Amino acid sequence: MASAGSGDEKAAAAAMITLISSDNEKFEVTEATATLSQTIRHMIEDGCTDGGVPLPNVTSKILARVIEYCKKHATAAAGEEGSSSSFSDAAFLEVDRAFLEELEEFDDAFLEVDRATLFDLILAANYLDIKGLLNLTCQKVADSVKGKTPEQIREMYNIVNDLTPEEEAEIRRETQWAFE
Amino acid sequence: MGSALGRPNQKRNNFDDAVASDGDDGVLHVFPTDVLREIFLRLPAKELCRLRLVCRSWRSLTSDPIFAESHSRRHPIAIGLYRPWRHTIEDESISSYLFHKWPEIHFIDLTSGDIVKRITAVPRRSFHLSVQLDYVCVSVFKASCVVVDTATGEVANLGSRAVPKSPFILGFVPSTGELKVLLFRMDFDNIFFNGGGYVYAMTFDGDGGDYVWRELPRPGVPLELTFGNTAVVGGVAYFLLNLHYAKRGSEPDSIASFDLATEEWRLGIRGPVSSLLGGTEEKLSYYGHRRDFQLAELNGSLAMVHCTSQHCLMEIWFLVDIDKGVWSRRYSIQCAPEWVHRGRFYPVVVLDDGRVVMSMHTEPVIRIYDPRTRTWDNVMVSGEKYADVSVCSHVGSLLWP
Repeated sequence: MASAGSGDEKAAAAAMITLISSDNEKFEVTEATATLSQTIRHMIEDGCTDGGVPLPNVTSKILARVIEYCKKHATAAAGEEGSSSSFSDAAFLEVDRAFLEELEEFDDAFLEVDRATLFDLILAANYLDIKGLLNLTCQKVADSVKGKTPEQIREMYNIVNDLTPEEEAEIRRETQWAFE
Repeated sequence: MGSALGRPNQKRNNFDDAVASDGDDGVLHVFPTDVLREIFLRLPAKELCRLRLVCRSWRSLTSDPIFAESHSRRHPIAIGLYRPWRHTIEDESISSYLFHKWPEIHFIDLTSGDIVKRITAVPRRSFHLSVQLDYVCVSVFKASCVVVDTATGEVANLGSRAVPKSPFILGFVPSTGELKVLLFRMDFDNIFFNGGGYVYAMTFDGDGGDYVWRELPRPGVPLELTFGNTAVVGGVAYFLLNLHYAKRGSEPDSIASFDLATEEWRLGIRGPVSSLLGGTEEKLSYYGHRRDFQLAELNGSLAMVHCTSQHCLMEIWFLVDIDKGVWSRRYSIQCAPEWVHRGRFYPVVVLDDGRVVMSMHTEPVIRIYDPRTRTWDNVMVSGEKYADVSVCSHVGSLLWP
């Protein structure tokens, strides 16, 4: 059973998970928060979370932000369970619109970070397999690339152009419509 | 070190390399290939084709067939016929003087509204599209039709046998891999006498050879051939009956079908609403309710769209079993009266997450309905009005050359 309802608060409180960052800082989170990460969910299912979950790829600075995101979204995720039948609206879900808006505002504010932090968040979201966070952060990078010329992008990300002029011509020829 | 985004780590999830460091004017990073793929999946096809010029690894990643497939699932494309100005058949002579632009086939990214690709080699008096796989059949007023291979841009002109405003229907036959074009000649003066008019078919192989039209069995009932009244699903073409010529007492959601493989007609398939009604006293009047129904192909299924202009509640029924006449209602969508009253408003595709993409042929707006929150998102199409146009969902990737 999901531990979302208020009656299950105690059960949720009992199931705390300790996450350990690469710099050895410990974070206590509820199972509901932690299982937003598919990686951790699988670890819990396999019963290997005793003594804490070491996350050698995530620094305490980034982990704190990731947990902040998961806490906020855990409640929303709990509500969405059971509405997975994507091709049907038979089981309407009463979602609090105000809460959705609040969540959107939270996400916008959450993304107000420098590029280095954003990239670290993406790597953490990918490693921890947190779908919502990965979507949010990747979209931000994708938006930053939109409308830029190849030269601008190479400059932005220090990428070396290793294409020969022949290859460049070939690319332009292949999908000519994209360059019109 | 070096350029990290440019040379994605080949070893998946190897985070030892994924070290961040601040540069002076940029950030050096190593993204694993799967992360870079996640980012690319969120960019429209046109943008990705241009990004191939950044470096070799970006080119190979965006050219990968598996990537292209996931990308096309995420960015469903609709094909629309864009006719500049108010180019209607009636004011043909005026518009040809006033407006020099010709119609175009637009590929619209349904999630962003971007026109990601245009095909300009479209005859001027085009008025209807029929889409199957990578092929678009464009019906041309008073002339004939052309079939455009959207992958290669090749255009085939299929000779002339059409009557004014009789759209051609393109149908793919999965069992044989053939592509057939159906042509209808309605003789409305003798509609009951001649069994709903004449039908011809041509097998299109794209070889550019002589195209020969064969006469087919007649449907036996007058069909409505305009957009929203026909749909081709799994090698079968479905038709609603003609509004003005159907026999008195017909059910307004009754369907005729034509099997493109066996070339046989089937009549009197019961629609979802009249199937539910019991006795004759409950029967829907044909003339009173015929306009409430539209046919659509939605994600590979036949769908009947039922929307009364009185309540503006759109119900989308999916055909489950044609022999038993079983339909399943999967959506009940409350629409704004102005959308329903201002012309055809119809579903184009259902997204992976269950949201329904709807289009209206009079406005450059795509509306996306989320059944979970019962809310609408509007996406502006960055073009002008699509006049009397079919916007069909398109399966295929634009990332292919």
